[in-house]
Amino acid sequence: MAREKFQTLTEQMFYILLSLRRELCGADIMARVEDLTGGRVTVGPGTLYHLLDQFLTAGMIAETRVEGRRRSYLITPAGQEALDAEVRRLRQLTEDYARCVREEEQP
Amino acid sequence: MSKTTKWEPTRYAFYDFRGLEARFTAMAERGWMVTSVSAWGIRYRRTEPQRGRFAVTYVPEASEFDARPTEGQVLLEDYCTQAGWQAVLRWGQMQVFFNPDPEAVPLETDPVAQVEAIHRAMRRSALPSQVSMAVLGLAELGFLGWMLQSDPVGTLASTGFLLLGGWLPVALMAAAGLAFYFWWLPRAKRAAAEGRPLPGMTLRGVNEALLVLEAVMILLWAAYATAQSRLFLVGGMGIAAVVGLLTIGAKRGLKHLQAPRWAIRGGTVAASLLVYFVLLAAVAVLLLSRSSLLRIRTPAEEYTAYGMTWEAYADPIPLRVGDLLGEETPEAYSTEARVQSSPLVRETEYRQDRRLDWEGDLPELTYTVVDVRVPFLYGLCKTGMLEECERYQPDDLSEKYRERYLLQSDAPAGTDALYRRYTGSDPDNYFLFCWENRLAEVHFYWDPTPQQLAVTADRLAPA
Repeated sequence: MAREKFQTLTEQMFYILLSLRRELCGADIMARVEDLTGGRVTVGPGTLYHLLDQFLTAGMIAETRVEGRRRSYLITPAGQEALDAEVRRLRQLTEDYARCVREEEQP
Repeated sequence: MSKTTKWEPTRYAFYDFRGLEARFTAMAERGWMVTSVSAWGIRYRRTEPQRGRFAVTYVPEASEFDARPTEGQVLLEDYCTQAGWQAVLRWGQMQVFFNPDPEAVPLETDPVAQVEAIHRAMRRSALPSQVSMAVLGLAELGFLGWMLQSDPVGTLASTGFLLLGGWLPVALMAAAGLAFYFWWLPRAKRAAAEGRPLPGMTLRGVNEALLVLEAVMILLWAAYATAQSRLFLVGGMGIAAVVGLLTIGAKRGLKHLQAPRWAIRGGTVAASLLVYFVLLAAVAVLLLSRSSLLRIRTPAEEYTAYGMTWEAYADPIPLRVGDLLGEETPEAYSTEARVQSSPLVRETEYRQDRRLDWEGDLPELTYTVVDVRVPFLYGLCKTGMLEECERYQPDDLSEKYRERYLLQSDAPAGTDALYRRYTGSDPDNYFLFCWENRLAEVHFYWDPTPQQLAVTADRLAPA
């Protein structure tokens, strides 16, 4: 079933929001995500553009500075809430996994 | 000297990013770099063969009526440049990039964001235009259906049928594009939600088949159309080409003036309407001032009677009054054969009319011979001819005045069936002769004898 918009976050969405806990300009986000994930996750420029546009429309990030063509962004409380919700969801997944494995290992 | 530019018709749907990317990549490897894309065609220029990868993406906020790139397009191009992707072209919401490194990070790395961007772009431009095209095409086909129902023989024998039928591939292309998109969209969303790449959605094969069908219909039309119809089609295509070129010119001019989007859109529509109506008015004035252009064929003679000019013809016809009555005065008659023919049906209307400058009462004869070239249409044509007289009779018309064809038991030898028209219970002198692939409706201006019916059947029978 298709996911509700931003009810769950893709890895790209998650790391872009995470990287915007500090003010960054668009192009620097690609490098920051690569740093954060040790190169495991890369964000293509098209995806970066589309997601920043969608996050701005949804009020999850805000534009903080425009210097020529350089635009900087920062996460908003709504974006932080989405990030926290995703972390809770992932934590729930790992807790469920651990409990299930524990129950199966018990004699 | 070898060519430095190349053009090919657009066979890809607007949203078929995978098909477009594959095509651009293959062409670049052969030394052709794409330079522009439009609804009609894709243009390339000669370069050194290049390996690399293309990416087609969409900026929903952009429009083909923008004089300059939107902030979003500039931003996207900046991000792409920093990631090693070179901007190749913009066409409305579509943007094409090239990266010479085949191993570069893809432009789109999140299928969820990608499908969302494609759908937003489609909703804003391609879907409304495709829906309009499909509705227009279906309306034309509905009109064709109505014509087939009200006058099957005339419609099937007319080459206008092929021209109207030319809408079929257009409507099918638009409808197939829409149907395929709405079939693809949920699959794409599901794949994206599961983290898989978006499924392919190329309609190239279907579009190519429909383009071939369109070409076949135009060629068939050209083969069967009269010289006058061809003249009108060429004139019509000329008008369309002039309207198209001037509209493109108006749009480019307004873009050059850096006009806002609404002004370019409005100006382009206004320019196309203005040019269209001016050209239409010019053609109307030309036709009215040179009425000979409207004449379907040249008569054998023009004569004056009752203070007016009349036309007389001397076409050979297969059955004459003299064949039935034994004698006639040929110079007293105008004989005319008018043919309209298509690959499906050939309809020939024959008339032997008394000239109006000839004194005295003379018998006349008119008949229509229909050859059905496609057997399964025979029933439709026969029913159409039998029911034509009933078609416009009011429902409350008295039985006494109601016209209908009735099957006769004494059909002449060699025919499959003979029908005669009646008004109420009174016989009229209209007969329908039926053979395997031919129908002939004959109007005698007298009550024919069985022997005259036999001669008629013999003369009009298929060879």
